[in-house]
Amino acid sequence: MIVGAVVLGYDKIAIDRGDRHDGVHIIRRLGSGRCSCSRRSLCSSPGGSRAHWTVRADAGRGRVGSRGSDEPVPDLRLPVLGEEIARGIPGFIERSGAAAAALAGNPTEAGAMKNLQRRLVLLVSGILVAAAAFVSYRAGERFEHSLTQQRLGMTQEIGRSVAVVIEKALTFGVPFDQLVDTERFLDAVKRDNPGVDYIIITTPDGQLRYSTDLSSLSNLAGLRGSLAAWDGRERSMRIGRYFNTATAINGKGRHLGWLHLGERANVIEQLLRDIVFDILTVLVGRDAGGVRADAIAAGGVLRIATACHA
Amino acid sequence: MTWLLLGRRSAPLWLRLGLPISLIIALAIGFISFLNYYNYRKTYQQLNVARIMVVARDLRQAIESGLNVGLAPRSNTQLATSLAVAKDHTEGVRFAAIIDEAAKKLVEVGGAAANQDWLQRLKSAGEELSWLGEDDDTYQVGLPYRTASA
Repeated sequence: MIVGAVVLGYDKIAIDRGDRHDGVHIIRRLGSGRCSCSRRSLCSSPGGSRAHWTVRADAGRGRVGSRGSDEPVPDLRLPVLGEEIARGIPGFIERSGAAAAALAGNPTEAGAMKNLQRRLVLLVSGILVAAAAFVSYRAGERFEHSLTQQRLGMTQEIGRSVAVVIEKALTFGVPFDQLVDTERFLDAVKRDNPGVDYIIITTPDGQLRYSTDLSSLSNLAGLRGSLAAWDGRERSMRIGRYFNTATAINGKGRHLGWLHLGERANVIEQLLRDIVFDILTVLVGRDAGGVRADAIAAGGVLRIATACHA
Repeated sequence: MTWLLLGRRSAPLWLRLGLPISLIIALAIGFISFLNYYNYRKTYQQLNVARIMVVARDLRQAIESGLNVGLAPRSNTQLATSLAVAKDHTEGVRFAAIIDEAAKKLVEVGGAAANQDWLQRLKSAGEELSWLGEDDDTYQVGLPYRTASA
């Protein structure tokens, strides 16, 4: 039965200001890069494309027919607004029909058009994908730093919470080497905080005393070596694939050990993995639901590109 | 725009093709940037909530430990100290409060605005372990505490 609640209010302005600042910053940084990217991409269109455009220009001016057919292709003038539309539409339809008929009678030119169309689609798609990748990469660089700081803040809170419990036991006179059921307690903490990959308690000289299950960690020997060399000058430091956050454990007025919490270093990679997992889930569900594969795949690719890791 | 669409008198074909292509690319990049930013903002706020939640869970555990031995939050003199420590050590926390089932403040550190919807939140909490709320100045995390018989 609920008999009350704990309520914590945290600063809205600071958060909004923080992420808005990051948003503005990334847009500013993107400004120069995006322009240069578009300009570079457009300007670097090969001469071949330009040549094709010239062919197309000729086609638009009614010279197509003169190459393979005696009958000239009618002018493909497009209607414009207002009265122009009213006057132009019937004529436009008529001319379009005639142009289509002339093109159909000339397979070479029709093929050239299709070829041009295909190349244009490829060019635009290529530029789009490159631009999207560039924008996402730059945004990811900026956002990763900010998000990592947030995650480390959370890990430090968890560390402080665990250290308080251990220090309370120490104040009751339990020796540091003989804390009971510590592994189970650490496992429970790890379970409650899925982002945490390991929790290790060491002596000041880095000897491992208590820990969660470490069998799933990669390069455990390297991690042990790094913890042994831990000097406490920094609260958080990257060790291999993990960000290690250390909290001092004190008792009876002296430093008794370190509490180390580790979480995977690459926030962006984890978020991307989550997104890919979502997409795979949808793809598996598609088979049952009969949704079109290409639509799902396109949506998935778009989501990866647009999610920008963050 | 008409000069773009007209046939013979119009702009060159590269311009007629290039303009729409550039426009599409610009729109796509704008859309991607928009999605990126909101995705980032959502993740940032989730991490913030997770950080505050760690502190709030500790406080709830302290309250429930007291309740298990028959110590009501109102009589638990350690809670005010715990709230003060939580507020001072946690970046960004503006207030911490413990309320009863009628949403009346039992212990409070920092200043919460007067008109809060905590009573409604408590009533609709059910089996929920937490709620997220906000007022004009703060985002809020609320964790209902329960008696052991529940």
